[in-house]
Amino acid sequence: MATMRRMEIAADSLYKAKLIRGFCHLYDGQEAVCVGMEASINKKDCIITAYRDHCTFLGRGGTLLEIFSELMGRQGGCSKGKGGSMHFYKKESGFYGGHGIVGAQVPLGCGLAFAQKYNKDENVTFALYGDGAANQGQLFEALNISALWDLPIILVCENNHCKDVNLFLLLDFLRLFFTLLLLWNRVLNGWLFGRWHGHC
Amino acid sequence: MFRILTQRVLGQSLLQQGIRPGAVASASRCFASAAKDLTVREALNSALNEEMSADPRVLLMGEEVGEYQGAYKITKGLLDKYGPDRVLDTPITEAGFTGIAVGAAYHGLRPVVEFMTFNFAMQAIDHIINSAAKTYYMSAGQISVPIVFRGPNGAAAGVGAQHSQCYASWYASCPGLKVLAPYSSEDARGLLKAAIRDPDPVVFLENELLYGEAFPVSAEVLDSNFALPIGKAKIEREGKDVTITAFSKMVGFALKAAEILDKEGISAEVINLRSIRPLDRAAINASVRKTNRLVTVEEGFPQHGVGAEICTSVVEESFGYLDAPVERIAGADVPMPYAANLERLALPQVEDIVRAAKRACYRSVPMAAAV
Repeated sequence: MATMRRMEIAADSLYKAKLIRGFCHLYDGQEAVCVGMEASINKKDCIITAYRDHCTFLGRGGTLLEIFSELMGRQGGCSKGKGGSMHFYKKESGFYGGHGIVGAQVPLGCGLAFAQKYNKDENVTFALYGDGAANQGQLFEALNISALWDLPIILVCENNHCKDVNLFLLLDFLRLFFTLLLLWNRVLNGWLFGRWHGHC
Repeated sequence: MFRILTQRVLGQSLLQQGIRPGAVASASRCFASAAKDLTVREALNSALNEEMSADPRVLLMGEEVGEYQGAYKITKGLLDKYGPDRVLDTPITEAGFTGIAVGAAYHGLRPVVEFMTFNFAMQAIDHIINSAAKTYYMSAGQISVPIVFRGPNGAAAGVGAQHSQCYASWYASCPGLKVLAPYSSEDARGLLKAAIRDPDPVVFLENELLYGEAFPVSAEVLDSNFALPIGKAKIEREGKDVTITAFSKMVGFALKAAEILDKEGISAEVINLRSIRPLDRAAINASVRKTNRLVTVEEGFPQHGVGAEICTSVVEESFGYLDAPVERIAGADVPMPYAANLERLALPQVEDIVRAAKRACYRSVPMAAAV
């Protein structure tokens, strides 16, 4: 866990130095989730997650060199520099990525579980998702099918509240602020100059 | 082997136009070969059956594929034969079940996903493109996705704007996908078997109006090992004056147009593309270098269509051989109308292909005036 924390902080510095380009979603603060999971499963169980995948990949047997090489677009990266931060994979250890589209990893994870059941493995799949993806329709579609077909899937919601600080909430606050400002303006005008338009 | 097959099929090219099963049956008695009539529906069904029998990893998923025997009866009998573990009826949740199928493919299974039409596949297009097509590249070869997405594509009869679009050019523009469009029963059998055996995602664009059409097929086509190569077009009819490229239902129209042109002294070479991605640029260019004129035919919308790509390929590789500008026949640039007369006007007809071929040959009517 300590390694994971230091890795993410280092990635943050590299990103701010523009040595990592595009996206860099960090997992510092959430390390306990993937470490705790790994303690109770084996490499034949599958894990699939979204784009906050650096530590999950490390937990599945990835190396720091592979991770930093990939983040910086080098051939030595786990995806040979072709994937980037959001697309780490380690199939031989049951890690299926690394996905950029919010919520897409959940049906994919249910598909992995489907294959495990089809092959009569005694293994399960963990599909991790966040508070944002919890709104995605495809999650509920996949959940419904998983219940119908009795799939060995475990959905893990990591609520890091990232969804809460978003543009729409900001717009709501801005709207509230300007409405209050307008109201204050009206009240002030009314009191100072007796302009009570349409009131009383 | 293919040469013999081509000659046999060319000799029967008359049979491949506006087929009525009765007429074909009587005509096929004239030939000594072991030609048998097979509808496209039977061809697809037999291909699925044989591939499921040969490889236990192949499974079917889609709406009504099981108990209903298939919305268009393509999967008839397969639930009874292979059981509910391998033929799965899904709820009406394209995004959900397509994602599940792609995830199963990640793990090594070989799902065949049926979309009731490719219009509904738009609900799942994120999984087709982002989860399936791009993953082999993004994972630097770690995860291959041996999945087939199949179903009817393009216009049916009077189904309206939201149920009539042709998606060939959309999928064909995406690296990581293979896109196939069969015309005859031989195409349907050979290409579907090749698609299921392929390690990469394949979009298999069928046509609802072709399902019931019967084509004569040889014993070789009926063999369970039969498969057609992906990326190779077929010369349906040889000619020397103008090349006409087409795929799916339009191949039939192009062949009828070639018959009409033949009576007027224009020998048209009809190419059945079979594979939209990869496009058989070599065959198209070789044909244009022979005939020096090109007409591309497709059902889909004209802008950024398959014909546009073929035209560019020819301009890039064989510009000096062109004696006339490339003519592009496509569907009208309008959502598909419902009224029968408007629907007919919105789709390419045999007369349009004939007119375009004549324009390419004589240049007697300026393109702008002909619109």
